[in-house]
Amino acid sequence: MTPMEIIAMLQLAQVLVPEAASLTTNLIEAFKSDGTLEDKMKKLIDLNGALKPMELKV
Amino acid sequence: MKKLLILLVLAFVCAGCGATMSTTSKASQAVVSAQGAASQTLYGIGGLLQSTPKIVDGLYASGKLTKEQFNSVVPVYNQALGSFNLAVTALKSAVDAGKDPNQVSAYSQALAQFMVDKNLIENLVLSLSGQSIGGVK
Repeated sequence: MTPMEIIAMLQLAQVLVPEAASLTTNLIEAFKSDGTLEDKMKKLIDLNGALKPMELKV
Repeated sequence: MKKLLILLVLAFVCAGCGATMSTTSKASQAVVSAQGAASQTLYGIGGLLQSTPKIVDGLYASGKLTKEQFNSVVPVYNQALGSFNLAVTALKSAVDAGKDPNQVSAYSQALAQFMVDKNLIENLVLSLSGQSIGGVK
């Protein structure tokens, strides 16, 4: 399940269970910051892809 | 009386759900935090691999490293690069699986190996040229 799907599910829960609104709001914020994690992972994977082995001098 | 009983049952069910969701929320946040911290750490240390070839090339070009010294750095660097690749792959797998990377042995082992290899390349360049690559990102 992707972060966006989880956020959509939590937004639905916010409507269906108003008592849990503050809890779901916190969860949504946590998963929105997961978008930041995706950014961090993308930067890391880009760095990994950009690194090339060194070659011997002949 | 019947309505009161139903309300009581609903209250217990809701309380139970709330407790479970609260625990789940804390656990999810902790995992996401751990994943974010791990990716930042690895990215930060990985920056060293980006700068190392430029520094070593510069040292060779300026005559501070001989060809033999330069060539002695190459396999050590490539080994560090390989273990960095493995650590990134293991972290990505942990993130994709929604796991705390610190609890995934494949990631812990890959990170430990990368740290060993990173120290080797840092020490080698330092001993050959007196140039520190650790502080450069």
